[in-house]
Order: sequence, then structure tokens, then C-alpha cells
Amino acid sequence: MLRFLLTRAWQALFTLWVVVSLVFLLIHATGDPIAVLAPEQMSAHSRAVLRAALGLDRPLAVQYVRYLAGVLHGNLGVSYYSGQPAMRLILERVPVTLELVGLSIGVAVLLGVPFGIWAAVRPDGVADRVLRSLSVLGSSVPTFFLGILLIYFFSVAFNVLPASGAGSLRHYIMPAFTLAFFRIALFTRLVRSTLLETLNQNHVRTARAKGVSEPVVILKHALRTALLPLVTVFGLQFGQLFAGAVITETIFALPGMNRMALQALYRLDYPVILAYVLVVAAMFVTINFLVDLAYGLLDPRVRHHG
Amino acid sequence: MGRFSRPPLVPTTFLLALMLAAIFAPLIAPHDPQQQNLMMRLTPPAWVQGGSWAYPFGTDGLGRDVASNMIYGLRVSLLAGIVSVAISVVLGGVTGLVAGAAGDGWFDAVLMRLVDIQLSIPVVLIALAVLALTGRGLGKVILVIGLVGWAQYARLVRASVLAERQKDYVLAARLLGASRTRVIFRHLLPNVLGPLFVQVSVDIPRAVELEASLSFLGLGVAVTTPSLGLRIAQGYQYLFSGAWWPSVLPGLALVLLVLCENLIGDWVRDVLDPHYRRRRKSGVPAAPAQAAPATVERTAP
Repeated sequence: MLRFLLTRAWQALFTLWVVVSLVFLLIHATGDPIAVLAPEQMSAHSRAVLRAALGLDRPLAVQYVRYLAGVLHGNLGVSYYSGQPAMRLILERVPVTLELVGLSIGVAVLLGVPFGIWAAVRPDGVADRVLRSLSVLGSSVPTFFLGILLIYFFSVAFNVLPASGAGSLRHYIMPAFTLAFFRIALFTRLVRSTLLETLNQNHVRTARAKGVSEPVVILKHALRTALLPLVTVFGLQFGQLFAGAVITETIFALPGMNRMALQALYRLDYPVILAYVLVVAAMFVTINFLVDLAYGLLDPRVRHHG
Repeated sequence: MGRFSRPPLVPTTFLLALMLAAIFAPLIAPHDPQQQNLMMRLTPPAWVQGGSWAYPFGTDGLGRDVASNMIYGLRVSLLAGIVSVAISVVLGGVTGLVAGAAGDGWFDAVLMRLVDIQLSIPVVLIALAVLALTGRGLGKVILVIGLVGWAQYARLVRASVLAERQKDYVLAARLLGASRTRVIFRHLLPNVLGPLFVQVSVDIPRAVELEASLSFLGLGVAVTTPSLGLRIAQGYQYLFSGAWWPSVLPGLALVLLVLCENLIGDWVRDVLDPHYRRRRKSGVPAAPAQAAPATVERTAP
């Protein structure tokens, strides 16, 4: 187990380093921030002063080393626009994003798992067919368009929910559902198919032969095995959730870190972009690590191999 | 196999119609998609009160014809979907073939590490970052979507090649004196095509959606290109004044396109994926395609 942990930790660090270096390369390969930052009529001298003030006049290797050192200290410099520390700007916005992502995962699991069980109990029954059609639809509606439809119906036509902002829980209903929609379909399909498979397995047949009641068979004996793939997909979906959150936060004007990063991208505010990438990568690596751990806990076979 | 081998008629018909509309856009579209008519701005669709058949789906905030923009938008969507996936297939397929045929070695190890890293970063984020730094444009969007998609194919082709390599027919070909290149392209490649097609059919709708999302966020095509995603974004601001058609109608066109592609993709998987077919046959439905490789990967660390 310890060796497994160490290997994973080492791989996680390596991934982080590659991501951080790629971002640095990308930024310096594609453009000059001064060209974007400085107003047209700014003199060459003022440009040089600005360049020096931001440390952009040093050789690339020096900038890279300083950048890595900064990353290690969690100090990524200040935003070119607001002048505030970039890391703080992003971290301030993390709670809103976490609330959004957490809520939508909650919605997806709370709806997707029961739907999946429901569909699996009677394969090819009415519930199964309806849910299957809905899940194809669910994977065909782009996040941003679903958000627009919801806003039109609930904010414009019936005016029951706020279309933007993050003041109360009511503000999160539509964004969380928008983000969860695709995942409800995914989890339903996943739980349905894995549950159907486990229902054919020996330990389930044994439980039935013992005379265990059907709900107990499904919820206790079959579901536990069926949850393994869910955990995996959960880990894989986390990154997709963040990507989806960029769009969701934009549509519903939620002041989360993804929206902040998108604005920083529009204005080439490099320190903020870097801080964002670093925070996302760190979260990502942590989640993957936790998923691996959870996998080991749920499935003894993995633990022994580790 | 039975009923699963029949192609889905309705989605195929719709998709063909959409493709024909996209190809013959200049002949079908009632107006020039760029042409503005500010006198007629925000005209509702013909079937709504105040609409006119001159603009069957109404006009947007600049007085552009929504229907024409949808038809030209389909063109952009289909182009983005097909060309970008083709780029991914060539790029990932070749690296996967080489890695698989070369077998265990430093090339294979480095490549798979790169694939892992690439797959661990959400595609949208990479695409957004690259486009923000390089500027927008349809060609760039297609290129970026194509480039970030290589990893899936590299992994897939490599795995298939590793599995096929063990089989007797490859050994037979080798014994007959076939060169390595010949074994790869004449013997291995045809047998890897099945899973490849399955992945392609899953990826095309995804690429279409990605182009629309990037354009929606303002980092995709140039403002003058009639992309569905861009038009939805531009129509979105009029939603609050009750003008739903400039954003909702292009959105529905996008959903229809992606839905047809997804349904056809399901069918392709039924027919081509032997794993999936076998399980269907025995009455046990298979897990979604995307979950299967992940499970394999996680259980064998």
C-alpha cells in the first residue's frame, strides 16, 4: 500500500510539473503580453519600463526558474490588471465554483443512481425505455444551450428563478442542474448496465437462493459491486465538470474561478491564468489520487495488486 | 445480431438532409447570412404573430436572417466535426501503431505517459488557452480540436495492435517473410479499424459540440463566421427581451445534428464492437464505451 501511495504521489508531482511547464511554454511561444497590455500610443520607453517592472525583460531560462520558484512558494505575481496577487484572486473565487461543482455532483448522483436502479430492475420496461431515450437526449444537448433554455423558461417566460448572480441557494438551482444534466444521463446508464451485469453473478444468485428479499439483494449485494465503475467515472468526470463549469459560470454570471480565468484569458492576464491552471491541476491530481484510494478501499483485488 | 444490425433510419435520413443542406447552403439559404437589415431587426419567425415568410425563422438583433445563418452554421459544424476528428485519427493512429508495433521500449513508455497527461487535462481548457493566446479563426479551432484529440486514438490503436500482435496470423505473416512495415499496414491496420470507427463515431458529435462551445465563449471562430455556437451567443442577449428565436432556433439545429450523430454512433458501436455485440446477444447490456477502457486501466495499476 505504501509503495502504491508513493508511486501515485510521484506521478502526480510529475504531471503537475509538466502542466506548469507547458503553460509557461505556451505563453511565451504565442505572444507578447506587453503588446496586449500597453495602449497603442504608449512610448517605447514606457513599454520598456513596464516590461522591466513585470520581469519580462529577463532571459527565458531566468524567467522559467523564477516562475518555478514562485509556483513552489504559491506566489505567482500580481494580476496585470487589478494589481492584486493572482493566487488570491483565484482562491477567493474557489468556494463559488466548489459549491457549483459539488451541488451538481450531488444532483447527478442523487438522481442518476436511483434512475439506474429503477431501469435495471425491469430491463426493457417502460421506465427503462423512457430513461434510455432521455439519456441519449441528455448527451446531445450542449451545456450552454441547456442553460439558455432553462433561463428562457424559468427566468424570462415564468420568472421564477434568478438568471444570474450568486446571492442565495436559489441562484444555484439552474446552474447546478445545467451542469448535472449530462451526468445524470451518464450515471443512469452506467448504474443500469453494471447493475444488470452484477445481478447475473454468483454472489447475487447465492443471496437470492438464501431467501434474501429482492430490495436487499439489489441495494446491499449487487449495488456495492456496481458502484466501482461509478467511482472511476466520477474521477474522470471531475475534470469535465470543471470544463463545463467554465460555460455554466459564464451563462449564469456566477462569480466563480472559471469565469475569472476566462476573463483573464480574454485579456492575456498571465499570472491569473497561471494561478488558475495550477489550482485546477492540483485539484485534479488530488481527486484522481483520492479516486485511486477509494478504489482500493472498495475493491480488495486492487489493493493486493498495488 | 438481428435487429441491431439495421441502420437507424430516422437519424440517418435527418443527418443526410442536414448534410445536403450544408453542402448546398448557397442554393437553399433564402438570404446572405451576413446581410443586415436593421429595419427588420428581431422579426419573429413566420408562424409567430408579426413574422413574415420572407424570414421563415425570423431575424436576429442585427437583422440577419436566422434560417440562413442556421444553414451556413451547419456547414461550419460539420466541417469542424469531420476535419478535426480526421486530424486526431491520423495523428493518434500513426503514433499508436508505431508504439504498439515497436512494443515495450522507451518510445512506448514516454508516449503513454504523454497520453495519460493529455487525457488528464480537460480538452476545453487546453483549447481555450491555445485559442486565447493565438487568436480566433475556424482553421485554428479545427486544428486545436484535432490536436487535442490525438491521445484517445493513440491509446486505442496501441492497445488493439498489442492485442492483435499476439495472434497467429501475424506470426504466419512474419514467418512468410513479411517486413515490419508490411505487417503493420497490411495485417495489423485492417484489424484495428473496427474500434477506430467506433471511437470516430463517438468523437464527431463531441467535436461538433466543442466547436460550438468554444465559439459560444467567444474564443472560437471569427465574429463574421456563421457558426451555430457564435450565433447562439449573439442571440442570447435578446433572450431577456423575449426574442428567443435568434438563440433557441440555431441551438435546436445544433441539438438535432448532435442527436442524429449520437444515434448513428450507437448503431456503429453495436455493429462494429464485438465485445459490445456479444454482450448484447447474451442479453446482458454492455457498459458505455467510455467506461470500459477506464475500468481496465484502473484495475491494473
